Amino acid sequence: MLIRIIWFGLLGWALNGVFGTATVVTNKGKAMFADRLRTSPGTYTTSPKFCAMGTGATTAARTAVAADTALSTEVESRTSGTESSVTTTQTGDTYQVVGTISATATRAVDEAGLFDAVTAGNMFSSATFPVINLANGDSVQFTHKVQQT
Amino acid sequence: MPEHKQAAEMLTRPCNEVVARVLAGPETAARLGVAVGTVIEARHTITPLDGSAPLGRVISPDEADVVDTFGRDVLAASQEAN
Repeated sequence: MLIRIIWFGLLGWALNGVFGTATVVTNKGKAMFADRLRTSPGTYTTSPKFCAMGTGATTAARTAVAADTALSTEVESRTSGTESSVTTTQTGDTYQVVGTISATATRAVDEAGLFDAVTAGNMFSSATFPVINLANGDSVQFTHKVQQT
Repeated sequence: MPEHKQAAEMLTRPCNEVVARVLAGPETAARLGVAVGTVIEARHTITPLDGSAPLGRVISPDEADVVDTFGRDVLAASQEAN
């Protein structure tokens, strides 16, 4: 029964992408979710709390890279976000990470992601959005929410 | 669709989302005449779980005083356009 519940939960995460092949919860993210439910996770032993941002998230760019591996062009260092469980529909049904990244140069940011490591690692989720033009010193506070249904 | 209507629609559908709030650094704060750290822009990217198309950009409904990078009041501009 538990397996069936988890399976249907994962089906609920079969999401449309914002751009082409981009998905909000990546294939790695789905595997991460399943693995980290175990008493002792076998593969994904760190939570996906590291926030990243990137540039160049055109449809072509998103097709050219593995959407569940990396952002198109990651810029700036990742930040370790603050995790919590929040409520979207059912009590505590949403995983939330909040993190702020500062620009050290002029940036045209159009994508963001969550990873399980401060460098490299596995991408749990990604999102694209219209370009945000940042001046040197501006920062972006990202709030990622992933709801389980 | 007008952005404030998108925001209203967003509230009726469960979704995964990323909200990006841009905070002014020293250079931008001086240009806009606001304090460093002021939220100057907000983007909301969401993907509905019901299979319908992503809504794309939505102005965060809780950012009533958001201004864009040119110092305009985003919500007021959106409402005037409609």
